[in-house]
This record gives sequence, structure tokens and C-alpha cells, in this order.
Amino acid sequence: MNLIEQIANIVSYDFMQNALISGVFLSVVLAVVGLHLVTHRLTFIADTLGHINMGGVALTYLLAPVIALSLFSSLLIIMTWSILGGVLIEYLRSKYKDNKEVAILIVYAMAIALTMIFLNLSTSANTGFLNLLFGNINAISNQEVIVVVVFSIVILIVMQLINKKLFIIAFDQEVSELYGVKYTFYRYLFIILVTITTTLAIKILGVLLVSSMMIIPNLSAINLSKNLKQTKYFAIILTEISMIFGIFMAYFLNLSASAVIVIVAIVIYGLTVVYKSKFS
Amino acid sequence: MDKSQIIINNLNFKYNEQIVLDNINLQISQIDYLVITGKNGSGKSTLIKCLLGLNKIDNQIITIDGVSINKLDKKGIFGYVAQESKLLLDIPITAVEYLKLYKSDIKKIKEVLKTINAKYLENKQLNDMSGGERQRIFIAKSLLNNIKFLILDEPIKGLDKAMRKSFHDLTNTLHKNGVGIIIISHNLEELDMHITKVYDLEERKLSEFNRTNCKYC
Repeated sequence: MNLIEQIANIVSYDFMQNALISGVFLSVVLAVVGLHLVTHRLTFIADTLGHINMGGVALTYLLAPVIALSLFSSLLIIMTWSILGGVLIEYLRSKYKDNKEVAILIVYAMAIALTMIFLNLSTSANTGFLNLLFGNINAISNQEVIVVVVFSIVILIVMQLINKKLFIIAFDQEVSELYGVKYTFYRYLFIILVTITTTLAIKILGVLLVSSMMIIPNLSAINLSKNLKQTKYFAIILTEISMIFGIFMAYFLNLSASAVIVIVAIVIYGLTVVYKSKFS
Repeated sequence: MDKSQIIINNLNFKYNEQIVLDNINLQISQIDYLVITGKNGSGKSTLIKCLLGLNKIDNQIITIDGVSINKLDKKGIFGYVAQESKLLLDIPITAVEYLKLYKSDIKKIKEVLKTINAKYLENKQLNDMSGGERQRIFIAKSLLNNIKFLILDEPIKGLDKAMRKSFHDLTNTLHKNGVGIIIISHNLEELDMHITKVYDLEERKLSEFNRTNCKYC
């Protein structure tokens, strides 16, 4: 069998189709949301949000024997949990004038501690927990694909509507209201969108690597670009390349997809650093 | 067209129970080219934030042509250029892309860039510009709306002699065209001679420099 036949064969599997469809949609969202994470200098918040998601999942394990949870109600619990965590970080950050990073540490510690307690108390089987840490593309159901596609479209529409305002609050943090943009409102809205993106993406990328795929392709795009428009498109293209190439390579090499996706993104980043130092 | 007048009437401002501004009274006209000086931490930035309507104050404390600052759309009144060090620019963005975030009217953007002799910068990345060039773009951002007053926070900090001259030429032209200029600076020595008033903010209180002793007035 040649490579094309092999690829055609792999793509015929349901789980692979689900992984690819989810991956393609998520890549656009990760790139678009990630660009604003870079301009807002929120890269570590994104990582913490990934970990907070874990607590939400542990909570569903805890609740599972008590109430019947559908995919949607589980997702709702995880998202609500994570959004509360995200909002709490932003609230605590606003209370510190200079050393804002301590807010992240407090919420991060709380999220991890509560995750462990939920797991201790949980009587339901939680063998999927390792998948949560590193992602598992084999486990994406048809229903989950629909959820990912619908939410991705909604997030992209909202991001398009608030795109300029997010740049303004990043560039003119202290005086954005002079331009008619309410800093607090848009900042919280953005944190909520980042949180939802993280929740959607952990199935593929896992808690530990989800934030890296929002940031690394954007850093590569910045190295290649001469303006904002190019940065945006390069980031989307590079996230898609890392995602699709990573999913296929992981299958051929029998490795964890999230790890291969991130390694591909890092290799691309390394190449862009070389490109930048040679040509610009 | 009548010139606008800002009146600050007995402004007191506390931050965390500490008095930052104490009984400030000031009149600024659109024909003024005014400098507020003072040491770091003297309350200059707080005063500017009050003026821009970003700090909450009672209705009648600051008025423009008799209308409370709280009830006005500040976008059409004030332009503000922050200190260079406060700007976060981690992405490649050209001058036109940057200005389009604030006003999508590309015709107006090109017109403003032409007015301030910055047309050559339109496709240049902000990160590749000199401090003086970047400042010109930030001033252009303010001019996208037909503002009455331009407030500049420490505008000559970090500029070399040539850039300072270019900055002064630009603010003088804007002043002649009817824009009131308000500069916050702790370095009076390097400011130019077109200044009409100088105020000193010291120990939370504002006082006008004595005209007979003030070589800038």
C-alpha cells in the first residue's frame, strides 16, 4: 500500500474523521484566540485554565453516580466550573496592582487541590483521567464533533465582533474607555472565550498541552509576518498544519497525538526562528 | 468657532484613603499650550485620568463649556498619548492597521497621516519605528476624531534633539490649527517656547508658575 492509499484508509475510520473535523475547526479557534492571548500577555493564564478544566472533569466523575449526566450536561458543568475559575483569576488579578501573577498561582493551586479531592471522593471509574492529561483523539464521539463545530463557529463569530476592541484594551489598557471600550467587560468576555476554547480542545490536546497550541503557532506566525493580517493567517495555517500532520504522524508512529501535534508546532517554531534570524 | 473651555473646580481625589489631589482649581482653554509639571508620584497621572473622565468624580467638578465631563463623549474632545513605556506591542502591526482599530475610515486615516507628515510610515511596522515616529502615529490616532484637546504624557522622554524638534513642530502646528495642547512633563528644560502656561503639581496642590520668573511663559 502506498502512502496515499494508507492515508485514505486511515481517513475512512470514524474516529479519525471525528478527530480531523474537530482538529480543523479547533485549529482556527486556537489560532484566533491565541493571538489575543499573546497581545494581552496572558500565556500563563491559558495554561492554568487548562488545569482548571481538569477539576471540572473530576467534578463530573464525582457527580456521575448521583445524577445521570449526558455529554451536554457534563460539558456544561466543566465549562461553568472553568469559567468560574477564569473569572476568579481575572478578579484577583485586578486586586493586585503590580504582582498580578500571584492570582494565577492561587487559582492554579486551588484547582489542582480540588481536582485531587474530587477524585479521592469519586466512586465512579475514572480511568479516562490520563486521557484528560494528554488528550485522546480515539475517544471523540460524533456528538462531540457536533459540539466542537457549533461552539467553534460561535466563538469565531464573537471573536470577529470584538476583535478590534480586544486589541484596543491590550494597547490602551488604562484609557480604553476614552475610545468607548469598557476594559473590564471585554476582558472578562475574552477570558470566558479562552476558557470555552480550552474546554473544547482538551479532548484532543489534553490539559497539559492545550495552551501551548494557542501560543506557539502564533509566535511562529509573528516571526514570519510583516503585519497583523499576515500574522493572523499564518497562525491559522501553522496551527492547521501542526494539527493535521500531528494527528497522522501520531497514528503512523503509534504515539500520543497531542504530543506529536505540539512537537510539530515546536519544530515549525524553531524553523521560523532560523528564518527570522537569517532573513529579517 | 468658539473655543472650548475646561473648568476644574475644587477637585479632590483620594486613592485608598490617601489624598492624591487636594483642592485643584484650573481653567484650560482650547487656545492654551499648557504644561503640568511635577515630580514622580505627585498626582499628575491621577489629574489626567480625572480630566479624561476615567476616575470617578462628582458631576460639577470638571466641566467643559458648562457641561459635566461625566456626561460628555470624551472621544470627540480629548486625544491622549500615553508614555512610551506603557505600550505593549508584541505583534507586527503596521501604522494603518493600528489606526484602523480606532477608526475604520481609511480615507480619514490617510488624510491625518498626510497632515502630520507621516504618510511614509503607513505601511511600516510600529515595532520598526523610532520612538519619535511611533509617537507621531499615536498622535495620529488621537487626530482621527476631531479633538479639541491633545494630552501628552511625558512626550519628550527618550527622544533625541532632532526628534524633539520634530515633536515641537508638530504640536505647534496642531496648536495653530486650534487644538489645545496639554503636556505632562517633569523635564521643563527640553520643552519649547510656545508654551502659554506652566503649572506645578507639588504635594497634591497645583500652582501656576510665576510669569515673571518663568522663562517658558
